[in-house]
Amino acid sequence: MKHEKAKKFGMVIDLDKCTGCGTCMVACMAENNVPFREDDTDKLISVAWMRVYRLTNGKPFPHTEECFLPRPCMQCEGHDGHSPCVSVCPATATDYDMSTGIVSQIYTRCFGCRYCMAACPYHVRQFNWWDPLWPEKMTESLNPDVSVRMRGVVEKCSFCIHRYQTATQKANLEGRRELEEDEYQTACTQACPAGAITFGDLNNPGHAVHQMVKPDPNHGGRPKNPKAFRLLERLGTNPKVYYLSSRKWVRRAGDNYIRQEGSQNHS
Amino acid sequence: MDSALIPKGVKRCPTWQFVLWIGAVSGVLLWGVVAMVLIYFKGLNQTNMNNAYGFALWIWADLAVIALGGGAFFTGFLRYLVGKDELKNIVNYAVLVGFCCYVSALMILGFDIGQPLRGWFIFWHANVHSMLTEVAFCLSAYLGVLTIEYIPLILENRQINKVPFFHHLAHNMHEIMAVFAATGAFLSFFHQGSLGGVPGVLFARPFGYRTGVFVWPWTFFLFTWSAAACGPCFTIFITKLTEKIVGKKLVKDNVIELLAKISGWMLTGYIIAKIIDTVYWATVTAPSKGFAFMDFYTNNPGSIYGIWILIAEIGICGVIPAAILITDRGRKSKTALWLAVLLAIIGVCLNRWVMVLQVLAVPVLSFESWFTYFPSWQEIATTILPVALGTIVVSLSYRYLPVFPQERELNPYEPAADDVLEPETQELAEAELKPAQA
Amino acid sequence: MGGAVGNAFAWDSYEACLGQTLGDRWDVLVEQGFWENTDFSQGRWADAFETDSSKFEFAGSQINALPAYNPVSPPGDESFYPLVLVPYDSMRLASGYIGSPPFLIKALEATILKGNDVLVEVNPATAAKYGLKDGRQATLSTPRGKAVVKVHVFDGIMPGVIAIARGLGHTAYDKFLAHKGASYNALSAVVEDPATGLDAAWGIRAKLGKA
Repeated sequence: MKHEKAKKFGMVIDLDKCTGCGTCMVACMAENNVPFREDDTDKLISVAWMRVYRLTNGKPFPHTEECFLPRPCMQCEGHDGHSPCVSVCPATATDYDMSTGIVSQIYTRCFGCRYCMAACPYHVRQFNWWDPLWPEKMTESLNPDVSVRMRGVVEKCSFCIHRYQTATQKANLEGRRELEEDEYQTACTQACPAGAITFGDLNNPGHAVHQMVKPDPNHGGRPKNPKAFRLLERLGTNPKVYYLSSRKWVRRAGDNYIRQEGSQNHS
Repeated sequence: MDSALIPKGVKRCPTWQFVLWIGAVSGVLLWGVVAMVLIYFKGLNQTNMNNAYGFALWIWADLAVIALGGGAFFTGFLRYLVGKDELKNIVNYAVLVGFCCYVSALMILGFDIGQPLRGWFIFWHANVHSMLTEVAFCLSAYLGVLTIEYIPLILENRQINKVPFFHHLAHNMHEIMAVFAATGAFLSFFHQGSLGGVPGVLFARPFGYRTGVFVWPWTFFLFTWSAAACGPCFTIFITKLTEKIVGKKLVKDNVIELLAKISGWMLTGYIIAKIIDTVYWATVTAPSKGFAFMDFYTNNPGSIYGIWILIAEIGICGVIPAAILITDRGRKSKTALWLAVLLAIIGVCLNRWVMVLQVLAVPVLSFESWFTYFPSWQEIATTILPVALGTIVVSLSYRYLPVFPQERELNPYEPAADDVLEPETQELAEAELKPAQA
Repeated sequence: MGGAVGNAFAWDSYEACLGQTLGDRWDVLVEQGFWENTDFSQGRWADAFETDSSKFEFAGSQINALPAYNPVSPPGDESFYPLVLVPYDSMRLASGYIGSPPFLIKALEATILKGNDVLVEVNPATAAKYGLKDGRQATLSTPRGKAVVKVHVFDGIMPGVIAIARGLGHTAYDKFLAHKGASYNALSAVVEDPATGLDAAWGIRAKLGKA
């Protein structure tokens, strides 16, 4: 058996398929023991690992178009694993796992300085401003595979890493080193009723995500798929979440451009 | 009542007046303590910070007091290492003010972390790549240095100095103070710098990010430089303020003018470097990330960050004070000097403000808009708390310790007859001679 | 499918049926989520409708010839209620008598619920005309009732129309749902279509003013 190549788990979200129903958010909250509060309408103090943004093209009625954009953690690789948030953590409470490409968060080591939140331009990292409280009886529905987080620490989407751990253990018990593509899928991927989310190993040519956004040397290292883009690529964050859209204004909303500059991209 | 503790040959206000003053400040302190208790027991939901504003008033206050406290290391550096001997007449006060600033910074950091009981993780699980780790280490170490620099002054209190051990300790500590001044300057260079590095390394935050040399972004050097330039201004400001409050001259003009002159030239150099840095960032760094310069400045209702803030920081509070302080006439004019130090202080505080809060206010995702923030009363009270504490420490030190070596010379004072004849005082005065004989 | 129905169905499953009947288009649908007919060329809009206005009309001019026909207007006095309030369904809000559970309320967009107020969609032109600001509270009144709402200025809604999400304003259920927002049902009224006798309730005249 040849030594297995490092994995690079990534996600492709097809915005043409996304209906903005929010099932991914609900599935994520249920899977990852994300608490809720009586008033959770201030999205800036509410914790949601997956958040669906609502974009508009800014044109007046009746030419207004909308697009829903689900935003999990981008699991930025940066340059050689130098993601924006990892290097700034003073207590090594987060790291970039070179074997999976997943940015971790160690809740029990985080002491809540929030430097990582300042570093992340996607607002993926969120702070527990309150103690997590569930209505009585609902604690029985918590997922035993995911620890709940205490007040005063930062948390974020983990690509359901506990599912990877469980699947790997199971495979190892069965004497297998490699996981099948469908053995490790995130909760949001499985829950999406429109099938808009695809998850897998970007390094594995057999995986759907690889085929969808395979980098093309003739395309400046960007995916061959003209519909593919990532959020804020120009900052050098090198995210592992790709988006697909057939609409140019959506692709352009993924990054910042100075007036007419950059219009040759994403054409 | 407390005359036995007051340094010899100087006049202090009556005890009742002093108690009243301390009482008033303690009222403010108490307000801060109430807020502190709320924050420690209820958590950071007592603040108006949010997931977009993870850093806010507190981090700004930290950066600002540390910049202002920079007067301590830079004056010490000039006095002990460069050999500007006149500065010995202000270095005590610079150290004292610096000490208060650094205590404030650590206190505020203590409020700011979500899990205060885990604060030690920053040392135990230190990530050497993080600017904040460097800040924590150098800051704590430097507070130690400042404490060591402050201790001899405490030991010089009239009563404490009677104990032979303390008398000699103070003397010996003075002898080796240059070593600590050098250590302090070294540590300060790094933590002032790493505080600058905090926003400078955020490569996904185009407003804060700066290119640099090796692992240090340009803000690293700019922060150290501006602290060295504006810290002494704060020392001058506090000295002048103290003189106003107690109603007498404490430091000779030539000392103030020397410090002002050095500060002026430092500020001049800094502001030139800052302008170069701003131009390079605005024309090269930010555009490479898809941001036009004016994307960062807007006066729309959601934002207070118009271009005025840059003009105020660099122009009004940078170029003007620098121009005043480098001219002899500017330094000699009372009004101009007051104006210059005040502007320089505001300038460095503004710089720290934009480098913390504007970094987070600017929308980075194209479909988001400016984030707004206004601190809660708990945040404001806990920010004022260390200021009140500092005021008390400074007041006590001024009253009971020989902080200003030139005070006696500048304010000849004949103690009233009943003071001299007071038997207790007489007895103590005799006792005071003993350590000297030993 | 089982029994006689299953036997009568010529394919193993409905998916197989779709796959066979749609052919290549099915593969494209699976992959992309939509299928585009590239041969299609759009006709001229002017020729699209054989109506008097050459535009889409809900009822053609012939209907006017019917003896009993009278156009039904939304209830309310236009001079007092210049706008029309219409309901819409949000994908993230249960709109029947079954309430949304807490996770779904949490997942609700900030453009639908903020604090305890429902946001109503208002075109920028309408907002400017009535001095309404995005995110601010406003009073929504119809001939049937009043509600405090917040304004969501949104280009996607037609000028003169206010849109409110269905599914809020519950008085039942737990603290996560009850007493949040306002219900369209409490603000709407029904008019009877004189020709058919059926309810014609597609909106109600409304007024939106600063709270």
